Amino acid sequence: MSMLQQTRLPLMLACVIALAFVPAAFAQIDDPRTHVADVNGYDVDFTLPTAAKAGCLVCHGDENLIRLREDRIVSYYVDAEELDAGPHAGVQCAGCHIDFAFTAPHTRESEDWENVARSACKNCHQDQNRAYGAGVHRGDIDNGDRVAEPDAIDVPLCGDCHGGHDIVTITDDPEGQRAMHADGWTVCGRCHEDYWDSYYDYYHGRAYHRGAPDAPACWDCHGYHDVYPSSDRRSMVHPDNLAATCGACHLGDVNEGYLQYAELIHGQRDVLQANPLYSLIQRVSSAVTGVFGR
Amino acid sequence: MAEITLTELNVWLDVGFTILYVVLVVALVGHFIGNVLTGRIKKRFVHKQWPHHEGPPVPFLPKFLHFQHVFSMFALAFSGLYIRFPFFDGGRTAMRWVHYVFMIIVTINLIWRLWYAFYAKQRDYKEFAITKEDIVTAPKVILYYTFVKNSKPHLGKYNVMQKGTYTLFVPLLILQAYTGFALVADQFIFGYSPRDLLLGWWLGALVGSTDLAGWYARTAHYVITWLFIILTTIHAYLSMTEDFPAFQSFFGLPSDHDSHGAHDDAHGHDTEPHGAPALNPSASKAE
Repeated sequence: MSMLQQTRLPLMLACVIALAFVPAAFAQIDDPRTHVADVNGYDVDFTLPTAAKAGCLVCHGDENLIRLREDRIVSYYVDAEELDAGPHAGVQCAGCHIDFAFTAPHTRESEDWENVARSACKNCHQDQNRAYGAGVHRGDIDNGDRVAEPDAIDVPLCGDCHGGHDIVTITDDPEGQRAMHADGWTVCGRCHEDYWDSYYDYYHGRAYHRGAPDAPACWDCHGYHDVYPSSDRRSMVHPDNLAATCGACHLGDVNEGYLQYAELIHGQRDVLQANPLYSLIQRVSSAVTGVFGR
Repeated sequence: MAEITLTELNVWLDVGFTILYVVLVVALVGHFIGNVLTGRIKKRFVHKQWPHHEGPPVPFLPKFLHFQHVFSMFALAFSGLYIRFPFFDGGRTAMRWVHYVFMIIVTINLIWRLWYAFYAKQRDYKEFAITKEDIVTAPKVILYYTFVKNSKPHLGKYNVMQKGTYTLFVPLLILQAYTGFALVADQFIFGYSPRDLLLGWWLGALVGSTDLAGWYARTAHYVITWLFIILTTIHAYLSMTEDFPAFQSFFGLPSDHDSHGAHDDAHGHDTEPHGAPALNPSASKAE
């Protein structure tokens, strides 16, 4: 047996074994989760150029930048075009991500980068922050005259309502105003689901749910940064203030009789349920369904 | 008696009219079955025994106005109900415009039809006038439609129920136009809105608020809408089942039945009134 023949067999065996592992190797490469660094932090061994967004977007401009968090895949992708189309195109990343650190995750261990980013707006929008701090949604914010509440993290922060990288320009921008107006579910509804569902009267709620541009959004009646409970006399929907609130759109002379309608705005379904004829029909319908089955 | 608020009243109207309409549709289905069982449908649609109409055929203009009116009222009912109960996304602005455009068309149509009825060369207001004979024979008409009698008295082009309904349409349309224009709150008339001008000075003063007066007007507008829907449904059903050739003729559709001219008494009319000139205006006129 020649030398060549002696080495051929082991070589072939090696090739067969290697080929058997190729699919598994490719499968691992295709699985995006293999990109995830399953660690709590790791050092970045180079200095990130944070003075320009391009530096952050070297990584965050990649749509595949994800991490596994509590068995969920979380994207860390930032759409540069979306960001540049918004009002904060001129703001650097670290202008909002003020707890940025040269480690990854880019935050100091003691801080919650999400909430820091979502409430970083106060650094520039101080009036809005002050108004927000006075209302029912006040949270863990530094408005100078009150102590943060212990459960502050459960209340909405600026970014929860206004969005983050995809925030739209509202001031002097009809398109942005339209987008914001249509966003009632995201801004209020997803937390106040019961009020979202009950906002179903003839000309306001139903129309708003159906995307009517002239139907009032939640904040048109309830206010926005300094929202108060309706029992608070400062609330726009406190009975003392209803005439002024409704009168903002209904330009005639709203009076007590007219303000009766306000009970329908979140209460039409209750009035319907209380209607004896409707109840009778429902009972008959249930009885028929009961007899003949569904 | 406990006071009912406007909010409760509106919900009562929604529930009440919806149920009433369902009952009406069931009743009309029942009536159609009655037509089949009594052989009326076979008599009309198979043996072509349709009602006879004296005089010349209906001219083009009233047919055109009728067609335009039907289309406009359908558009108004659809868009109006959408404004109150939006049932698809993003249609409010479009539906409002539809409502504005057709309310103007219907208003012009109404004025035109009234002019035609009273001042045109072929004026026809007398055909709608309810006479003493109509009232006397009204029970027989009701008995015919309830299948108690096999024929109804023939007094002219329209029977008493038709005359009553068509005449009722006029004040209802005027009231509907009035309450409809009174819902426009944009102050584009020298700083006043149609609501201010139509309601503010009287109903607004009575109830203490122009806006509240507008709400009363809106409620009335809604009630009249339902009355139109109900009456039109009955009208459409009866015109198709009782006199299909006339229905075809009104919409410009070809018909193989000529119901005008020479009298053929093979239809469901009493022959008695023809022998009694006092009960037949056209016969009286001929005399």
